[in-house]
Amino acid sequence: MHLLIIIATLIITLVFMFLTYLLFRNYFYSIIFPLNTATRIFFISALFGSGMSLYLFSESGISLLNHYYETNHLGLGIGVFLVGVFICFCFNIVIFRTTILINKISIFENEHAELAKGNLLIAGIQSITFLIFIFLLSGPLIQLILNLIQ
Amino acid sequence: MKEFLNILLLLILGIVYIVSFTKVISSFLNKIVQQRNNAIIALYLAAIGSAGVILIDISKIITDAFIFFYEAGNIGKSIGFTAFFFIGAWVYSLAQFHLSFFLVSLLSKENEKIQLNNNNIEIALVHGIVLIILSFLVGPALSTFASSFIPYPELPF
Repeated sequence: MHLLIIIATLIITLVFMFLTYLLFRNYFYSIIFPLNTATRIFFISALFGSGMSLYLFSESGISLLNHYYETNHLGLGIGVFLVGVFICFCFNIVIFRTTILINKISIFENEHAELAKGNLLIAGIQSITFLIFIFLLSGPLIQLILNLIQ
Repeated sequence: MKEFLNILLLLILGIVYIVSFTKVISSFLNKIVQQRNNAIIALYLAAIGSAGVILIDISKIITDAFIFFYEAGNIGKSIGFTAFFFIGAWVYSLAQFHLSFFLVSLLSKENEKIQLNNNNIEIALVHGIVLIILSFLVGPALSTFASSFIPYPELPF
């Protein structure tokens, strides 16, 4: 039965990463196609940051799945896990948009144009800011998700 | 509710922290170099990254303090302590950035400002790595120090 939990988390993670990839790909392709080094750096950081937020959630999420499995409510457990993953997905989008907004405020430059020109400084700042916010807010977000589940 | 407020507060203060730190570092680097080259960009990004590491470390204590005071019904103190820890982390990050210039000049025995102007990537990377390692090492100790300010109730054993 533990194999079922592994398969469920594997499928959920794959779907999560694929949807994240599609979402960010559309954003970056709207800036420039094919991608240049600056947009690639930011794209990879965005994917990595999103994966990290899912990873941080899944530590608690898998414990939850185990708990529901032991109480013979695996279906409910998967449903709750999916809700948590969905909140993580929305959280990533909010943080991504916030990062872009912060840099618009602080740099006073058109970030789309700068990324299209291959400005590594803008790409680096965006990537680092995104990762900082992911690691800063993931812990409190997971506490919030767990409290909502309780 | 308290978790949501905590996230909101961390988000707002995090934005202020990063924007202000970026501005201060940017103006400092603009003073020491004539034009932005790859070495300066590498150092600039490392400085922001190291400040981020300090912020992430201290945020765990900030969350604990916020929830502790919020549950005690003292919202003023919960916001005050959060702001106090943020300011402390910001000041430390800036001090560490300036101190690292001294450390790197000791390591390399060269005038770093001239080397950065000459686009010496190696020295910028060494400086960036020193900054980030310092943050990873000092961050947990700084968090422990910060937690000593929170008046937790003493356990009877």
